[in-house]
Amino acid sequence: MFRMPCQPRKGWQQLATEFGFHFHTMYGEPYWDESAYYQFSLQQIENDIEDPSAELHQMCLAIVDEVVKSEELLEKFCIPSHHWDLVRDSWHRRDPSLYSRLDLVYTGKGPAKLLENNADTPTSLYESGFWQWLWLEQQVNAGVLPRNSDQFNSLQEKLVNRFKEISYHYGIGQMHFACCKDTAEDRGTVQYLQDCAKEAGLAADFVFVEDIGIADTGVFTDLSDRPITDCFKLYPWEFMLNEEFGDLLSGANVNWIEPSWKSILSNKALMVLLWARFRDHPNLLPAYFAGDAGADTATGKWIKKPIFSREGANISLIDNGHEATLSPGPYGEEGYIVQALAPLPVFDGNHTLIGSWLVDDMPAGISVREDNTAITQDLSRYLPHIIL
Amino acid sequence: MSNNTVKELSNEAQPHTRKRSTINVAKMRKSFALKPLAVGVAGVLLSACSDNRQDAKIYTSVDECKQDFPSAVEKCEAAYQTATSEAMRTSPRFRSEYDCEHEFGPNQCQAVNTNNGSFFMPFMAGFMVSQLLSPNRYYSQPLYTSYSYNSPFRSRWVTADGQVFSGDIRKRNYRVRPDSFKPKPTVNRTMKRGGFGSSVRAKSSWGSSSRKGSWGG
Repeated sequence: MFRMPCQPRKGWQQLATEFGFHFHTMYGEPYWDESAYYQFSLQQIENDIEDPSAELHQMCLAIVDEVVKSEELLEKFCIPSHHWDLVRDSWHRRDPSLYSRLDLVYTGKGPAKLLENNADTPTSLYESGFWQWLWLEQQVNAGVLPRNSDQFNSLQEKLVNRFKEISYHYGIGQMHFACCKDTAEDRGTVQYLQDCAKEAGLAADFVFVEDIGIADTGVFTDLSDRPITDCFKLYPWEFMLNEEFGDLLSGANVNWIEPSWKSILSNKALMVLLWARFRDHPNLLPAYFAGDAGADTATGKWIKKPIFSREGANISLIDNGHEATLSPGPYGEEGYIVQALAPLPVFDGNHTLIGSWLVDDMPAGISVREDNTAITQDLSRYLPHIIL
Repeated sequence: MSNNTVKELSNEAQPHTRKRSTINVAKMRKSFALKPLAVGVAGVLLSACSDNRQDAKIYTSVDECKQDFPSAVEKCEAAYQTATSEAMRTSPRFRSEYDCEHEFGPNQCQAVNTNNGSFFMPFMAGFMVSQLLSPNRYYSQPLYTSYSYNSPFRSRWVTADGQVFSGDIRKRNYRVRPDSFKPKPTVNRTMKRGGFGSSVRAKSSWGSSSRKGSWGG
């Protein structure tokens, strides 16, 4: 695993406009950064990332199966009790999932460590599935990269196939896609998924989450008053369950993607259960509910993070019992977990995080993000990678 | 990497030699302008490969159906009735005649008044029938077409939920998946919007207000 400086493609910004990649620069800072790339060996990809990702995913599913059977655990996971049936039923029906991203600390040597599972609303999909793929094609054709360069990236192909399976599973030819207003990044991610769904033969309609309506007949509607029966939503389940329309979910009878059982996987309490059930697994970090007896945070370095949080908000570092806030934020009312600190590797002064993608249960590629600080937040940069 | 390699399908026999998707780059271009979302019923071909497809035929009148099935005229009548009542229930609805005609063309829309209010919907332009002679059940559903230059449905067959059939309206014979006939739930009117999204407003009030970040992760 190396970080290699590289000449950016001439006029790639123009190309980004042509392809609808509108969030390569965010908050006035570069987000897509092709002034360098990461290089992995095939062994690193296959042995250290691909295989462990498949295994970690199966371990996570085992936890879901345990949590839905235990009211105590559902409570620990902060699933509102009046939604337990919704979540349980969705799991017992095996409602199909689309994708997820495991965030891994990987230094190039030794086992990758799972930081968290973005199983409900992962973003940076377009730049992973398509844009870094295009970068590689063009840089190889331009002779900038060796001809035998490869990339761990079968995302788009697998997403299209998965949409075919989902359309077959539910017997549908049409789906809605939803995300929140005012975020180009989320809209871009959802547009990409719409494109993949269309490629799979589905009609892909869009509605903003805020515009979803409830009809007299109890079904959710889009802005044209058409019923929403099957819907991909880039919107967290923990929000949906607790909002006004949350109580109408069971009556509205929507096949959601991701399904509601994903609320258990995208929850940081998952990390605690994983450690409890698969203790000392090489790809896991010790993790406990904050304040639990097992959590010996008086010694060593621990990261404390909210059960629900996004984009690295509300994180603190506990160093031999002394807590220091690393990032502020609006989360934490549901409680915290502590996780043993696994520092991100530093390449040329950049802290590097690997996102390992799965489509359903199949490893499908990686993304590499860099940050100037030790916590990857929403100002991190996305860098492409190659296998050589 | 040559263009040939790009088009090459991934080789199942050698799973470790290639970790990359095959992607049609041209399809990913977005140079066209997106339609307004409120009206945008995404068009897509119904030709996705599938194994359990069945023969279906589109008629523009009951008589056309009767000509095909002289021994089952009453079934044609019933299939037509099924489609018209389904159209009343599920057809695209518009608040104004202008919006409806924008999508379906001049004089292609009717006003409907119900207890729940009034709206405009396109006329049913045809109905699709499958397995009419099956002793178990036949399938029938309403279809629409557009005469509007603004519409992706122009001169094409389209279902109530916006699935567009391949070819133009002269094409009458298709092989479709049984789920093409799956009935959609009824919507008379939307009572309320905005019941999702409040958490975002709450969490957004934190931090620098100029930032509107992703709610994904």
